[in-house]
Amino acid sequence: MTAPHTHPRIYGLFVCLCACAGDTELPAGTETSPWEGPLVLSDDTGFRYTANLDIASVPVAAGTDPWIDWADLTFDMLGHPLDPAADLTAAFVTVFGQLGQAELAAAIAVDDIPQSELSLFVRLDLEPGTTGAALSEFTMLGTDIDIEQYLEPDTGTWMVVLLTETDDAPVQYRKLLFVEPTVDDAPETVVFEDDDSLFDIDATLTGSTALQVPQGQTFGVDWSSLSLDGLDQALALHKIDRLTVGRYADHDVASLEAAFLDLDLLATEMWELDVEGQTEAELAELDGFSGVDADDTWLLALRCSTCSSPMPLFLGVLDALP
Amino acid sequence: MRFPDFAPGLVILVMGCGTEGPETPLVDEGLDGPQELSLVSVGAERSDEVNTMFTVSWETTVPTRGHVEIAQDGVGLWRTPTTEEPGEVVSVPVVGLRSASTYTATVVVETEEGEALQSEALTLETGTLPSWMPVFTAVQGPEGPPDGLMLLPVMSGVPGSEDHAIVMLDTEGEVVWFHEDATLDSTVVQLSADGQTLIQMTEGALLWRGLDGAVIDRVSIDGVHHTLAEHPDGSVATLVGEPVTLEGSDWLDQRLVEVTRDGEQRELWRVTDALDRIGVDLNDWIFDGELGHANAVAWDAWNDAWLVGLAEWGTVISVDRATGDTRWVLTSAGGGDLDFVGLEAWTHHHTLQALPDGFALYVNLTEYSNCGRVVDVVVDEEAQQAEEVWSYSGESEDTCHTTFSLGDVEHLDDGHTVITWSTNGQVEVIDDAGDQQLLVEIDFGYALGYGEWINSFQEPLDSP
Repeated sequence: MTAPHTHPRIYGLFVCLCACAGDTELPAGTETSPWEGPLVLSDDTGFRYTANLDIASVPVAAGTDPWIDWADLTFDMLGHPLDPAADLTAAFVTVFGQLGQAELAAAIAVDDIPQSELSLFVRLDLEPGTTGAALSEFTMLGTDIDIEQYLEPDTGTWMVVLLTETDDAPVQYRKLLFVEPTVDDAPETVVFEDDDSLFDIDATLTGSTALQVPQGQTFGVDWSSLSLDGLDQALALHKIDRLTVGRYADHDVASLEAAFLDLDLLATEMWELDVEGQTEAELAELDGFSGVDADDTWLLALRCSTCSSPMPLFLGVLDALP
Repeated sequence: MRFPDFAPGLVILVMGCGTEGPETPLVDEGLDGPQELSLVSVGAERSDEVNTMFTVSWETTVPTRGHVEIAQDGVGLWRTPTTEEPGEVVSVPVVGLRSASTYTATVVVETEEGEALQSEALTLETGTLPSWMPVFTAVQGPEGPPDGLMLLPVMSGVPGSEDHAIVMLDTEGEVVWFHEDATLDSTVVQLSADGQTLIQMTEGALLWRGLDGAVIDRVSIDGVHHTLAEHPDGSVATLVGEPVTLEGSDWLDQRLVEVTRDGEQRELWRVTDALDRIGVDLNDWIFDGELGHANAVAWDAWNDAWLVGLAEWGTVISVDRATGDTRWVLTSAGGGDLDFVGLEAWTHHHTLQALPDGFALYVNLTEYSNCGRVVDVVVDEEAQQAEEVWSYSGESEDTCHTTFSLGDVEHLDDGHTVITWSTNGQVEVIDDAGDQQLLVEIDFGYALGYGEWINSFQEPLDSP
């Protein structure tokens, strides 16, 4: 992990939190001072993670119109249950001209795919119940370009993407598979299997500076100072459009780190706020949220519903002050 | 798609920060003269639809020309061009401000006699970008790009999103103007010669949109598609599909139509007028039944003609504007009036730009390469030849832009060339030596359409 960036506002936060903690280290006369917000997020208060993505590669006969079959899938690449006939709503075929399979998988894992390398893109909307399609059914923005005629060796890195799109949730990329056109004896079908692509995340949820907040009361949050995401990559503040607070009654931080990809599923309670266009918010606006306690584990996340990565842009552990 | 809520009080705030009301005290920089110049009012209003764009207005007691000087944190940045005609009540667009930022604007006016005044500083606070806005990154070359803004359509390939938007970027890749409309066909946008209006296309219509985002004029045209180009007289040439039966099969003919803002439409030409000269074998044609897949139009001021590109036939045609006659045909489809000289016949291409002795063209594919490039072609009608005299495919020999859709090239008057590698998500500016001076890249999942380099909104503070 790279060293956390320091920021002038961090010092202010430190002073603020100490001044409000009310413990014996405080100067005399400040014990009864009320906690003063907002909670200022900085680059060293959030999670950090590394990600790896293993994508299988299967040969397919060049110059054919292969059938792509995903009927046997039961899990997606995050390890979550998948009903291929009901859950998948679209499929892509992409070709990256000068990016090899390993490079592309690494770029996808860290959400840093170069658009400049994309040399072909076709899409197929899936009717409910669809568990396979011929390559020739895919079109470029509705135009049939006879994509199958390009399925030849040395034309780039071919990848099939299965995804779920709904009106009220971010897009979920469910499964990926590399396809390698070859002139040797190769099948004319492409079959997805559960272990074709799996995401592997190693996350540290607690930043080097704790997010200490008062118990039993709501407070404001200010994220205007953030400049890095959990991968230490540049963060564009305008991409943040949702704030969530999760309460975990049955999990401590260590167990949540171990089950990082299931954070949303494991939450005992989850509150969500639309924060598009904002760099601060009052958690009093979260319906039913009355503050954190010291008994449970609490996570604050800032998310992007228009990004291709499911990872939050910021995630931190809220520590309840005594 | 939601936009962030805008503070309705901002306009009031801004007005309050400026100078308003009669005879507001001003700094008098002018010479003593017989006329009493003063500013009656000054104000700034942020657009409801474009939260980085302001209209600054003022009223003076005598006719003046004026401009607006923009500063940030006490540092002068740039100014708007001086208004062309003297006036007493004036409004000018301020385009070029970044999002989520605070600027000051100072109005400077001057009479014909040279008496000048400047207002107190108005505060301009821009809004935030919506979360769907992709991130642009820019890298400048050693000499840097020319001054100006990049006007670009942005198409989202992000699943679940139907977003189409028009943006203007500064040369550091920052968004300074944007308008989003999911219903628009945002493959093309052009700033009208009036400098105040953007011409756009939507399904079945052309739109003239003000810089504040509001639609000013709309002309319905069934079958309009792909692109448009404005004539200096303000009319717009565009392409219109129309069903036609040829050799017993159904096709979509491609008409070249001129449209005026008041709705008049005039057909100049159609592909079937030139089929014999193109020499294409329709039996070889497989692309969705469109005749040639017309996708490019450019105004040729040197020949009073329109250039039309037919992408799938590798064809460029010159059409006489006055008569609608086909002047010449350059094609890789089999026929044509001109021979290719030193030119690898292209098999798919996009935008055109007319040049004094020929044209520039964005070539997506040739018979031998799927690497995109831009070329300059000199047309010698007497010798019946078309010769490639320049091409560019990227910063290095290894660069290969496989642009599977769209692509744009624009030579600027100062010698720079702007290339939009559309589905590669890049805009590149090279100088006359072919050296890269700017590369702008967009997030994965987005593509760029046919745009324009604009330098009419901002001038250096020390401009005369």
